[in-house]
Amino acid sequence: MDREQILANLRERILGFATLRVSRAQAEDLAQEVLVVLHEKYPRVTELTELVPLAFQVLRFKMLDAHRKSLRRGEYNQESLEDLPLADPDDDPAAQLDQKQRVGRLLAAIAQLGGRCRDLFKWKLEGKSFPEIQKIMGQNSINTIYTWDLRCRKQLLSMMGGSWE
Amino acid sequence: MSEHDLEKLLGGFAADTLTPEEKQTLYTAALQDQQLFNALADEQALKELLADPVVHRKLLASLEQKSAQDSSGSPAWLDWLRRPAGLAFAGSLAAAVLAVVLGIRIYQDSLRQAAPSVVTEEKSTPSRTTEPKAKPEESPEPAMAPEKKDKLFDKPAKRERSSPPSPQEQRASDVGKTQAPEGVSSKSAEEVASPADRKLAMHSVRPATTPELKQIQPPATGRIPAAATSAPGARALFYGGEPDRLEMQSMAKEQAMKPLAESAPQADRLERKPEGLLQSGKAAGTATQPKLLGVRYSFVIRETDGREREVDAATASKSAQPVALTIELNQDAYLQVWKTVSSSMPQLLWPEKESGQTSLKIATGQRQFIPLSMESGLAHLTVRVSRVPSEPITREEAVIFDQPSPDQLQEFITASNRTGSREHATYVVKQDPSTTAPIVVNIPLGQ
Repeated sequence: MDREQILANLRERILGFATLRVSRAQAEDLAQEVLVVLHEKYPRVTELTELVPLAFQVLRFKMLDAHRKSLRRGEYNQESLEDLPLADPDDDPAAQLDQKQRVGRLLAAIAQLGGRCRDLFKWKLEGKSFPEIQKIMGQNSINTIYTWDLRCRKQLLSMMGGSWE
Repeated sequence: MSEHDLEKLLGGFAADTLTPEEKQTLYTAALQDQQLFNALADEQALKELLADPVVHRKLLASLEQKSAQDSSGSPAWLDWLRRPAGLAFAGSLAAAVLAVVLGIRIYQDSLRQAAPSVVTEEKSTPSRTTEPKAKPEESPEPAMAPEKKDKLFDKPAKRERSSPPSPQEQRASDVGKTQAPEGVSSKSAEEVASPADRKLAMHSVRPATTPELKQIQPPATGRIPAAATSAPGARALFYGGEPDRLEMQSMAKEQAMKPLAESAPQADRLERKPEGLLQSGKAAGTATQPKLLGVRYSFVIRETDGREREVDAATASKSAQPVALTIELNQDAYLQVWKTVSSSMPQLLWPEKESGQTSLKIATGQRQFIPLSMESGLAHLTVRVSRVPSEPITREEAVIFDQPSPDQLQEFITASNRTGSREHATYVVKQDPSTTAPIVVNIPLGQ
């Protein structure tokens, strides 16, 4: 699969994903903006295993950016420009708070996991791949590890309230 | 990899621990599958979070701390038990153990229930095939035949009780004399008594009219081991299988002497076994032939301490104490006893004149005591037992009828009782059940 074909597929998938969250017109814009970034800033990235995660990353930034723009434009709640704080090059306090809260929820959720799930999560944070985890856990089939990890992930997501955000 | 399997790789995507092959597979599939793509896009939030070095360190520290607490806290097996799979395994293991325990109990119960039926079959088979005929001379007997019978009979016995022989088997009877009308060559007491006893054992056949055990109180079986002939004795025919039940009682007593834990289940079997025997006996008895009419008589003297003791005729004739003739029948029948002194005409000794009857019905197992006077010198008694009431006869007719039937089998038994007393009794059985001809027994006195 060449780069052009990958990008074409990506556009279709990004449009489908964005349509679920924003309007169709905004979704079209989002997909276009993601592809522009990929095209202009990462023309040398051609590998599927690099291009797809990169597209996810760009897509997330673009969606957050669109969300911030909407806030700035007062699309959600009309406020006067004078009341808004000055721009800060660092993350804004709201984003920092949001991340802090997410980390707190994540830590609390992880603490409630069973021993095996915590071990799995820890090994993944240490950068161990599934085959390596399979060896550590002494399992004959890697599918067992996949299954355990899927269950642990679903359990963690459930404890996080159904979303990583 | 199916779509479901690809979903399993999502965990690796967020932690960025997928192998190149896994990434290739996952991303290729994500480009074709909107749902998988959406899931990956959602995982991007977590991926970013985990990619933050500060958050990464915090999470790792938290997990390390938790692991340390676990290792010093509850044991590993408890943690294993908390897992769903562990709980499921423990539950199924407990269920399996419970099933095995219940299965064993049910199996033991079925064995207990099966035991009486097996015994019934084995007991009833010989009783159907055995003809109660006294043909001692026809069976010079190879040694194998009795052994086979012993084996057949011993099978249930072995099952019911463990090896120690009963006191009944250990006890040796003193003397046994058989008087067959056709003449039986003289044999040792053991040789004569044991075939009868063996027949006793094999005769579980009892007609439906057979009285209950408590009504009949026969003496101890006087069992003698080892035998060479297969002809049934009069005593065996008289009881017609009754000793089986006596043996069951003695076995039950033996079991009661054993430790409680050992005897409890077996006692249960013993309680059921006579019932099964009785049922089979009834069934077989009604199916084969009626019980032979028999009479048992003995002399009883009253000791100075008031106890009654059976003695032989010679001892009775010389006794200074009061002597009585006891007569017992193995089925309801009519009895009359004549007494003849020297060459005079016979006199009806029983029933007494006051009754106005020439014969009276005696219930099965009921012992009739007839006081005797031994002062009249040489005399003899004639006992007549019939299924039908005796017609009034004159004393002359009594002399004519005073002849024993040739089909009568007579056996004199002297045996030790388990209570220490001795049995001195004579059994007479009429071997032809088809006729109503009476049993006539001549009993000499004062000889």
